[in-house]
Amino acid sequence: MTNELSVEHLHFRYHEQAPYVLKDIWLTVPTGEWLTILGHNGSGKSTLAKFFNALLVPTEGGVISCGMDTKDEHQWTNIRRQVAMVFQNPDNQIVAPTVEDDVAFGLENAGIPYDEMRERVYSSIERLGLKGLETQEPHSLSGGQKQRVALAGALALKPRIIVLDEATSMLDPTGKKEVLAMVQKLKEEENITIISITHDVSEAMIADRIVVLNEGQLVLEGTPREILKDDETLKKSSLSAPFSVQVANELRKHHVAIADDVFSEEELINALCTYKQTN
Amino acid sequence: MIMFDNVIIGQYVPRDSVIHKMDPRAKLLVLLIFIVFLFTSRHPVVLAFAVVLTGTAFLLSKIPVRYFIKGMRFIAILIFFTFLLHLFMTREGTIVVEWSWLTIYSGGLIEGSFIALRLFLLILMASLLTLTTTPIDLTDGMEMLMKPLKIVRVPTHELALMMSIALRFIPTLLGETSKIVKAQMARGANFSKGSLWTRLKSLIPILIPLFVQSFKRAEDLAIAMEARGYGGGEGRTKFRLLSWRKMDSLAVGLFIVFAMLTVVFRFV
Repeated sequence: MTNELSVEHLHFRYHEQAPYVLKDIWLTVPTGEWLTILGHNGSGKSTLAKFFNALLVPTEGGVISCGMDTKDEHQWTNIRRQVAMVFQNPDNQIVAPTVEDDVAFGLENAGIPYDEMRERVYSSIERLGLKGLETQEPHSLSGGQKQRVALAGALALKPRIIVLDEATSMLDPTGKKEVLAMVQKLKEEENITIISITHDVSEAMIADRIVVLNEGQLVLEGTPREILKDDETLKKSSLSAPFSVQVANELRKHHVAIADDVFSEEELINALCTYKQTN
Repeated sequence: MIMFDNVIIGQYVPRDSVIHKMDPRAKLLVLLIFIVFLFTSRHPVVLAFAVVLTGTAFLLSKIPVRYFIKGMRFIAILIFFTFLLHLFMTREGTIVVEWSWLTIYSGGLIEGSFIALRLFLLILMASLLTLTTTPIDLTDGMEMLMKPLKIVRVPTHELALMMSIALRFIPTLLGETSKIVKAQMARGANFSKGSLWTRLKSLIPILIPLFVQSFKRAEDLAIAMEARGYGGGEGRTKFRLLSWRKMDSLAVGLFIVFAMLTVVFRFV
């Protein structure tokens, strides 16, 4: 498997004398993976995301995105066409006054010819279930719809990587589900690599792999099951385990025999049912 | 925003009409010609022509008359005052009315009516432009019309983009303002009591958070645009194509005839 992204020995500070915001980050992301970068507020995770599409350039070390070095200024436009990004605040990333114009924005920048652009815009809008909203103004959309517009704009560029920088943190539970389901769909159908940056452990559960960032350093790496079950270690990074895991741990403390591998909500419910039947 | 309800300039009314379908460039050109030449001549033939042109345009646009009248109320007051001003200030022609300190001359009556009529026609045409054109088409049209100015280094693409972003953020900022107003009221702020000065001062706690938020938004937007590969107007393609049709040439032609007519009546 090839690597879509590799970060080597990345150090970063905003200017000389300033303390390092990111310290010695090593990271590789293979094609088609869903990687979640988990960290509390101020852990440097959003800063890290900006290196993937050359919005920031490392002070030391290097970042290779889709085979291109982000230090090479001439490659920036190419990198940004391959690595699309969805940001946190849905209101602050929609540029154009209507949905279709906004989806087209990235394509316009890339100089895609008219006919192809039309086709790509409408197919992206349809893929993300926004049909019928083409000429709507952004302020009349819900948060989840706005983030789907941003995703449609990203998808229209046919990127290899989509970076979600806390893309669901300002959404209500319905909006969050809606957006994550779409991301999952894109990952499976288009084989797009997903890198999601979040502090939300429940969102991290659906990833293939998690890395935990604390004070600018990568402290943990593993599958969601490995990482998220260890409440003690997570606490050291100012995070806490998902609710289902916490309940299971708490029950065990009170000598309720719950299976060790309880992870998702569904598994917790099953475990509780089994427990009730056996006792 | 009660006070803006009665101003219709700048609002778009979707209808399926010939005027709506016109190329925004043609509409802009027509309006420009109209504004420049409306005040060149005051010959009755010219004015009659102008009335016919404006009237036809209005009828073709299918804008509901009632909607239009409602929106013109504020403007009507303005026009009325201009009329009065000319009525009282002009001292030409014969005296029509003489009543204690008030004297009205026939010259004032004529001058006032002329000005009022022209102002009315002008505002009607200008509002027709925005009533029948979406903001996005309008900015597109402006960008295209301004293109020749690129030679003298006017950043036409950037200007158009600025305009379109401004339009996009008006509703967002209005929503934000009302949120801040509520938040400050919840903290005990009062915006409707006291002298004019106190009321003006009470706007400060609204404006400062609004500015701070807008700067934050601007920064976020700039990063988002960069991430989406925005690099200025060079090598950019457009999602919207404007199509110039016979109808547009006809309209512009008609207004050029009007322009020539005004010049003829003025100088011949």
